[in-house]
Amino acid sequence: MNINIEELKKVKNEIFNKKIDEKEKNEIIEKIQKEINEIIKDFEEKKDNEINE
Amino acid sequence: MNKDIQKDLFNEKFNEVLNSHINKILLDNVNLIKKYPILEIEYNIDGSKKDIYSLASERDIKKMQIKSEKNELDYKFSQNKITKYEYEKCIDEINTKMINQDLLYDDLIFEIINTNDIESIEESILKYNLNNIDLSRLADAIMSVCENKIEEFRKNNKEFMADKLSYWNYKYNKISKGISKAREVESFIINLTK
Repeated sequence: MNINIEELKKVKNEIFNKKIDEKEKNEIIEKIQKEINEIIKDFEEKKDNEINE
Repeated sequence: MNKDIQKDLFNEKFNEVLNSHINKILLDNVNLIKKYPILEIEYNIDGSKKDIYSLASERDIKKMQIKSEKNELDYKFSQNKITKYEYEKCIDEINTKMINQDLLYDDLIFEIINTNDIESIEESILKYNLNNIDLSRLADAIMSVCENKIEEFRKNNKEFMADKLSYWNYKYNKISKGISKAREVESFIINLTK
């Protein structure tokens, strides 16, 4: 057995894909994307503030 | 914003969600732990997650097993039972195994510190009623995880351009919070030895 981070992630992804249906997966991805958009918006605002200073 | 940053952020967030779902799935499907033996590193056989002391002590045990494998190889080589080529190849494999194992345990231990409140972590340590030697080992293990995580952050975030500065700060703040919590846990453990 290979004991490494990637192997553990691979197994978790496998279980996740088997146990979670497509609809819920899409909802999860959409939620994550919204969260990321907020974080990136925050970065952009900070960058603008840094430039303006 | 840079596509690499978007991808990195997505992976980070997705992993958090993935781990949260897996934690729940395994509690209801403990048979999966037997089916996928690598899960035994992170989870108990009842589906619950291992606590910080379990992880740290298992890491130590596995390190000793690897050292023992190395000693055996050294002996075989000294007795000319294996060639230099075979010896060096095996040593490389063992070193890679050790590095990968350490990285994994670092991740798992750091995740516990990041995702749990200090009180729960402290309670999980107190229940073992550890002696001073084991407490010192645990404190050392946590300190080692912190150092490794800081070093990993430095290596992976050496260069950044102006448009990545905010992202660098975001990553730095995140890891700082984890390190700060880890130092608190470490102090708690050291105080227990007094």
